Amino acid sequence: MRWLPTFFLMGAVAFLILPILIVIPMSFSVGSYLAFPPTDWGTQNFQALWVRPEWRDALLYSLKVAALVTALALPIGTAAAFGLEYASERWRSVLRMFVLLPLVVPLILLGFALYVVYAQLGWLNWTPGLVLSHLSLAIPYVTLAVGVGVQALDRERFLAARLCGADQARAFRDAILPQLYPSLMAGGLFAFVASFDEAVIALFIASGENSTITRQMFTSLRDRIDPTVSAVSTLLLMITLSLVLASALRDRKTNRS
Amino acid sequence: MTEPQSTKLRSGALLEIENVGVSFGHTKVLEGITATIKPGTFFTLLGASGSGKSTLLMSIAGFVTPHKGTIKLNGKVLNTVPIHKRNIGMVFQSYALFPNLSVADNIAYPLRLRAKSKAEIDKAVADALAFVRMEGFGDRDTAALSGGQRQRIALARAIVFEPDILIMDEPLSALDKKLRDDMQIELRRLHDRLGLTTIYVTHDQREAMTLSDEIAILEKGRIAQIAPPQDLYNHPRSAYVASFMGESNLLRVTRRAGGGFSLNDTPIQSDHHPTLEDAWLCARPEKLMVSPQPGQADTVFDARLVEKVFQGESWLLECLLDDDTRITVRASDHGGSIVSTVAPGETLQLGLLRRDAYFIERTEEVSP
Ligand SMILES: Nc1ncnc2c1ncn2[C@@H]1O[C@H](COP(=O)(O)OP(=O)(O)O)[C@@H](O)[C@H]1O
Ligand SMILES: [Mg+2]
Repeated sequence: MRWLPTFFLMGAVAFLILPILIVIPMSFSVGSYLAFPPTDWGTQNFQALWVRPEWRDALLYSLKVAALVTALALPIGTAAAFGLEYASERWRSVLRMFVLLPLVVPLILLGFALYVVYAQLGWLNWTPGLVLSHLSLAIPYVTLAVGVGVQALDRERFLAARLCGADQARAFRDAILPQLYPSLMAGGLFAFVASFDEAVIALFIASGENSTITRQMFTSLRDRIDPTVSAVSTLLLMITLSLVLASALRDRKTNRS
Repeated sequence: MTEPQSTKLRSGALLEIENVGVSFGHTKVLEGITATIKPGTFFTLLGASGSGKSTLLMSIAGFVTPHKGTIKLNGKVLNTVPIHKRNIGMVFQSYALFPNLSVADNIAYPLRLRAKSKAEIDKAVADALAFVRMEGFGDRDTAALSGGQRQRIALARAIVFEPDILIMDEPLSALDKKLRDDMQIELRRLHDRLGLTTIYVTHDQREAMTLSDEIAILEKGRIAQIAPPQDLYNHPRSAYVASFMGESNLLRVTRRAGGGFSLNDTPIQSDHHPTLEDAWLCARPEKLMVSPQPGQADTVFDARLVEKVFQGESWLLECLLDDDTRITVRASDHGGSIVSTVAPGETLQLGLLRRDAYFIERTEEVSP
């Protein structure tokens, strides 16, 4: 009976994954509308992604924003994880609530609120404004992921490094940071995906030249069903899957050693 | 650290701890700790769990800041020196090696921080590896090493930069018994070759006696006694020390009019003449003789055997005195001894030499 839980797990995974996988054959269809199953096969949709500037620019813009968000969320979220770890027992749970708040607030509410504020400030369709809004989603993920690593830290290594002659910063770099690499990888991945996949906030505050790929997908589906969307979906799927896979493989490697 | 013979050139540093107190919040963890650790001494802090041993070690290292008192290294006040400039080598129970570095890089780490040349580093690392008998392990991953090997590498890393003192916090307690016994002898041998002032923390009294030149017994954040192992064992200053250092019988004795003490009206012959009103006779189980020959013991008294247990190298006898006080005797079954034939219920005689009869002050609390 040991295989029974595994069987259920596989079933659940299939149920969750299969609908997503449908976009892959769809993206290789040829024609001016979305078809499943495809009648003719080709890479026309993928070419459009690169040839048509509205798609290409949106993709590059999304990658840029996600990279910026990741680069900023990692140090801030890590600092917050340490802050939570060293906070007094009494305040820890309250502080953790605050850090995680952006994840539980309905996105549509966040998007609308940001729209009102950004309109006042003149920050609409402005990259730093979008990065800032995505940070509020990405930082909690980093704090969660790195917090697990911080709790499992072997602090004696830090003390050992200090007595070996390392000052605080050097000891942190040499003795603490290497222990956090796996959780930083996971946190960075979550942060990147959180920004890259985000569509609701972008719908409110990022349009025109500063349109993200998800927003572009949304508007192109609303106006007319553009088959390029399926190619974008496949691409997003591949990017996300390869990041997750890379991080899983890395974990396996560090677990073995 | 080059040739084993020439290592003694470095005569270790003098460490003076003066009236050091540490508290965490409102709890006082250490109070008025004073100790002088002479150059080259192997000094052990011994005490029950929670007695403050690690806290004292951490105060020396600088991770804990005492609220009062001074710690001086070679006459220089250490309290305000930043941790990384204290030049103290430390070995942790968890080894605290860097798993992302090879064995050689672990040992080289303190030297790299001191910006030594590559040639210097290579030589020092090779010497340190040889010193802990781990030649040829330089390229290994630390993950591939056994517990004992990791501890040797941790030791090599702690001494490679020629620290002024070496401190160790229960470095052997994660190892199994056999390996621990071997490492104790080896640590002592390494210390004799290095001549480094060493402060060692353990809760194991046998380990402390095996290793140390001097032992400080910590009792609830205070020093109960500082003495060389033999002194501590033979002349414990308090009941706490007596019961912490090996087994002991604490027998209530009464002061005699003409001086000295008696046990249930038997006068105790002793070289020890303390001016105590209320005293215990501290008699070690292995110092008590079972039915001694006439003239062999200085004091002889009766006891009734209650229980007898064979423990391999010796027998453990549980007896009762006339006033129903329990007394434990450890006797070896050498030729001519009646230990193997005597049966529970029988009365036997116990003997004690003058030099083994030691008195300590009687207090309310008995055991640690
Ligand atoms: N950082 C700390 N904060 C509060 N209490 C502590 C801290 N470190 C140690 N203590 C307390 O101080 C006492 C002594 O601890 P420690 O020095 O670790 O004892 P030992 O090493 O002898 O077992 C213990 O009661 C422990 O709970
Ligand atoms: Mg301790």
